Amino acid sequence: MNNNNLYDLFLENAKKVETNVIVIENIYTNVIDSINSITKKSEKILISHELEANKLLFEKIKNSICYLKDPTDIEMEQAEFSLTDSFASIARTGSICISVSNKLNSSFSLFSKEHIVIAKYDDIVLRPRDLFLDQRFIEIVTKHNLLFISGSSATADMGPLVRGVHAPAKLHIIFIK
Amino acid sequence: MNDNLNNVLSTKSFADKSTSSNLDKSIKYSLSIESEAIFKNTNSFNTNRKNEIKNISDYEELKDIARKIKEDSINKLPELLSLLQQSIEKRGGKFFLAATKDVANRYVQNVCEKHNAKLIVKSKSITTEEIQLNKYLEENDLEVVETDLAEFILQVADEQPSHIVAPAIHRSRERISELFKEKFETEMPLESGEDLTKFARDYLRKKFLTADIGITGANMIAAESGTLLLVESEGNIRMVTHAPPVHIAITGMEKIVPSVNDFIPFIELLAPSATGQPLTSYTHIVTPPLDIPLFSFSDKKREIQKREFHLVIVDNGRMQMRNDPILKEALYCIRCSACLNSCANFQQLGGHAFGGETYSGGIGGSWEAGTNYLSKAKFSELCTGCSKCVPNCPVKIDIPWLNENLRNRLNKNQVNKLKSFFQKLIFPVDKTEISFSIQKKFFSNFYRNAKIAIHFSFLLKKLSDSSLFKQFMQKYLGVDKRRTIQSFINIPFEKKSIIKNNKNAEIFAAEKILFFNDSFSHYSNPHARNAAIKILHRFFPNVVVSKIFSEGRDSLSQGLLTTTKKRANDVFNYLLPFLDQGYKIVVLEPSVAALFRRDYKHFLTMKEFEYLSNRSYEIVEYISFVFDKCNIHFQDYFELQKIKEQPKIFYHGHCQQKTINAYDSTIKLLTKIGFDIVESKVECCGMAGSFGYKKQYYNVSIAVGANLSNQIQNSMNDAALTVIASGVSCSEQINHLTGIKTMHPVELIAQFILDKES
Repeated sequence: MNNNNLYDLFLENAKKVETNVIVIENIYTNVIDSINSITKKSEKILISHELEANKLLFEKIKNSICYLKDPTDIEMEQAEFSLTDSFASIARTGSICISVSNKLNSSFSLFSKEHIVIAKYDDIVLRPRDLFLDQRFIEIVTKHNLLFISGSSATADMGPLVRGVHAPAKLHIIFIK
Repeated sequence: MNDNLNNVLSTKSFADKSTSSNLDKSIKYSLSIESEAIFKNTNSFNTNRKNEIKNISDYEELKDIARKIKEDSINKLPELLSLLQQSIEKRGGKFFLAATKDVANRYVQNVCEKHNAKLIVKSKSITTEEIQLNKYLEENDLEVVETDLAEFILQVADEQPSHIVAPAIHRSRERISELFKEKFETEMPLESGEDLTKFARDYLRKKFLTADIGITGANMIAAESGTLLLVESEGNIRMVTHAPPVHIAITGMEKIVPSVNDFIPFIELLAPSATGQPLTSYTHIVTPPLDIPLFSFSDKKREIQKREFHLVIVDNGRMQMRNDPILKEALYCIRCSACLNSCANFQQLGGHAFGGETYSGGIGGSWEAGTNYLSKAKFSELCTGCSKCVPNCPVKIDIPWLNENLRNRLNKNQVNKLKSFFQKLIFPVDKTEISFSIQKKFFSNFYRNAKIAIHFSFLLKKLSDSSLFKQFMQKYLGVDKRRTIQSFINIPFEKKSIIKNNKNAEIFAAEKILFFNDSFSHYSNPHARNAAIKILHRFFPNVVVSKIFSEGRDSLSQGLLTTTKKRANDVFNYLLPFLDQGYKIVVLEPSVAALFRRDYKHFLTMKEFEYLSNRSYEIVEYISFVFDKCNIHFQDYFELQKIKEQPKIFYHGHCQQKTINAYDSTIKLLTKIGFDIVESKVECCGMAGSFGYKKQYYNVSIAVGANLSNQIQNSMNDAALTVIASGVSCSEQINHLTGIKTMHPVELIAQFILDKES
């Protein structure tokens, strides 16, 4: 399967779990605009540390938007948005893959009401098993601290599906080509 | 309000299923109060699972891989335990192996004391329910809060779980709303699902942020790295592992596999098998202690500077299960609940009836027997052996076989030598199984009963309407008086039909067929038996009709395994010379075909079983296979024009027929010949041989069967219909519920065979 087919499959499955998916060309202003369109310039944004590969991008983001620098635990708990990176995504399941070896990726995206993830268009694999077979991800997956997010926090225990139980109610993924 | 209290008292009071009276009470309760919610939810999981599995292109291979990983891991368990301990301790965590539940609970208690803990937040863990952790901690003045919403509901209601994965599915939204309004004082609205979720979210958020300790289970553990696999939808596991400074993971030793790579097949199988999702919202592959800064939400001063992690591995009977040749297989279970959701009986009853003190459903009995007591597994009687669960188990556990063994173990204990001596004269069973109840011995002997009944068929016909006779059958044999006893009239074989100029004579002539004249068809469906023989003689010159045997399906269902073994070997010894001469064994009744293809595996040697099963067929499967091989033109053999004018067919396939993959061939053949078919969409008709006759299960059988009879009635509203069923039991149930007499597919086909070449 080529990248475009993988993306199409990803989109189909992400939509099933009500994930908002945006795809943009790799220009910084596009990224900023996408983020702003989601956050509507709220300032209650948490930005976590990033993988080496995304260092430059995240620097630019941090310079361009207002966010909570060095938040207290209370500020973290009350945040509206969190912005984290990812290392891969899975087309068959519509999932985004986060490394939680990164200290804050996990906590920031746990408490906020909505979670925004930056992803690479070229780093979509077909099935979960392909992550473990792919040389690109070998260093990260062997650290054994991974989180696959498929949609957002949800429960069907109270009757029809309700989102946003103990974790973000909405997941946004910005794919960068 | 009173009604609610009665409900609350009930489910815990009959969780202990070691008595018939508790089992009966729980069945009554579930059918009257919980059935609707359970059926709706399990059906939804069932449908979603079926749809999602279609997306797994290598589903069968993946299950084989998953099964092998589990077998190897259980075999190597002592080695893996040792390796796991090293991995945990290398990373600064604490490892504790608990032999019993008391020891496990005490360890957790000690950790709490060490940290002056007051509040504990917990995510879902069946193992902690098994060891009754909450009760122990609460008796030591700790506040334990369940954070999985379903477990939270159970905690508030003080109720037993009714399902392995979704423990509160017995409660509809309305009943949850009622419950919260009763138990909580709040201004917040508590009507809709959104209201209830918002309330629970706020309530639990406060608990997360101030908790001293977080306790989780684990779906799987990698020994090499000390990594946990945790799956969830709500995010409460994320909270429980992140918010408090101390994380205790408690789980059974059967969860351990060698490495993280071994997680992979299970990551791809678990969610689809459980809820029908490709993955749940959050799939964690984490190696605690987490490298995340501590939070300081609560005011209390914490002594602790660094995150602390404890892994408690529970034995509580598992090592013994590992040494038990039957129960060992139950250790492979990954708690997906596919066997619950695909079980027609479970769909009607849920875990309050079809479950024990912790575990429920088809696999539940083995776990109660292994970690609790054998007597607590009595609810496994509700497994009819229909085998619909078998193809859905991600690790290919033979669940009916486990339950048949539990039945055997449960009933071999009671002995009343004098009574039993006389009963053996009446109901022939192996001498080691005399202790089984009269009801079980009666139902283990269909062939014997039918042979006798035929001699008295005139009398039986008169008696079958007598209420005194029905009372007698109910009181002494446990046959529910609402069931009609068949009158067993002797229908003779028909004279063999002659074949002339068969176009495909060479190919057909090469086939040698032994029509295995199964006892059920011979005595309960003689017209179908005759139609089968007619068809076989029409197409094949080499057809032999077997003598009649007690094949062992009835004794197997009752748990009389030694009796069944003897019968299986008698049948095999009879068939062996035919097999040696290249005969194919063709069977009419699907439950007997399934014996040759599946169940005899446990009673013959592997070589004998494979020799037999590779040459055994359900009749329509066989005919279809030969027709395909010969590429026949149906117009040469069947009155296709007449068939086109026939009314639509409503076809109900037999459960075991589906498990041995002999269902599609019937649909295909009937369609090719030109019939218009509506297929039934239920898991099971509810009769299951003797099950529907038994007084204690009649109501369950009818509740299950209602779904099928509704489908038939609805289909009949549109147009006239011929109802076709492949199994004798199914025919009996359909007739009982709708008054309709069904035909076997061969009876239908036989009507349209061209007697002469066209």
